[in-house]
Amino acid sequence: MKVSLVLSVSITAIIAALGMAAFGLVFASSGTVSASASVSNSVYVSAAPSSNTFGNVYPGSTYDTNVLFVDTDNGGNIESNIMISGAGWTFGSNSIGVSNTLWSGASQSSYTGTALTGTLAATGLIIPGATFSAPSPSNSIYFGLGIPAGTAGGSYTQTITIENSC
Amino acid sequence: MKVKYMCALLAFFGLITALPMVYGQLGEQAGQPTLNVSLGSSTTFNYTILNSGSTPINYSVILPTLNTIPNNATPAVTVSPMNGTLLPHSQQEMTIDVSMPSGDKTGLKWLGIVQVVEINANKNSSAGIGATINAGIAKILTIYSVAAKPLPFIVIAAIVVVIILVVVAVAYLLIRRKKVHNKRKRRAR
Repeated sequence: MKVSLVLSVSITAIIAALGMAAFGLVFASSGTVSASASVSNSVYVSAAPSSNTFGNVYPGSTYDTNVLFVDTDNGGNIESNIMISGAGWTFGSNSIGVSNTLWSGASQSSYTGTALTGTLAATGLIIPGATFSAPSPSNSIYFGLGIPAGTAGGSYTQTITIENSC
Repeated sequence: MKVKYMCALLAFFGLITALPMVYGQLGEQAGQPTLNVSLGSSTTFNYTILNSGSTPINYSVILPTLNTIPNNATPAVTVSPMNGTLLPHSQQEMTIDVSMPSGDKTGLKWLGIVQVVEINANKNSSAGIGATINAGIAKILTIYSVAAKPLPFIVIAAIVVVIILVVVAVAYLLIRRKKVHNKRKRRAR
């Protein structure tokens, strides 16, 4: 009983001492500190969807330039320029030239636009810098496709690269 | 029973909507590199690539194809690292190194694009014709050839001091040799 009493008194005293020390520290910390930070400018790239289909297109026919890919800058804070390039369409040993894909900054009701090339090229399309009210600015690119007459049937695929530069 | 089932369904959809979106987000520090490189030397440019997303990004670098200038060699461009994995919410410093051939003229300009491309594992396998998108970031690299830098003053001063020391040492040796020779001559007489 005595032991427990002494122990409880001691613990109470320690807690009180710690509390006072803590208060003392709180009252004593009246100094000021300064902080600085440098915010770097940056851009991000996010192209969606990751793949898209033109469906079934017959040889000698075209698909209107209206297949949409959206390039979004999530988290950047400065204007960026959109650049694109592509590889040729392939299906096994069969191929269709990369330039049969056309791109445009606006949806078209016909097969029209700028031919895609294997070399990364500036599109002239811009993603504005993000703001607090618009934190994820984006821009759209539309693609169309022409299939040369005599093309062998099959499921052709192409890789298009969309890059942001600042 | 129906109420319980509805509650479980609602909780499930609530959990799904509460889960954060999972994606990788490739980015780069702003600033296009313009490098003035002295003939016969090299210059580096460092910048940072970023992943602000919640999944890793496997990336690969595509080196620039610089324009060619007749009768002049094209500068050599290397980028390090050439590929890697950017972990979520991490960054990686990239180094572009440009070496200028010593025999080129000054005032020449080369342009090229350094690309960092996210390797997209999604290959379209659906029926019909399909396109797969790779996302990337690009730096437009501009290189100018400039005259080789003159030697700094301290190097020139050090060379002069060494030459003076060598001349003094040689002169001292010659004088001493002459004195010894004269002594021997006198003794011989």
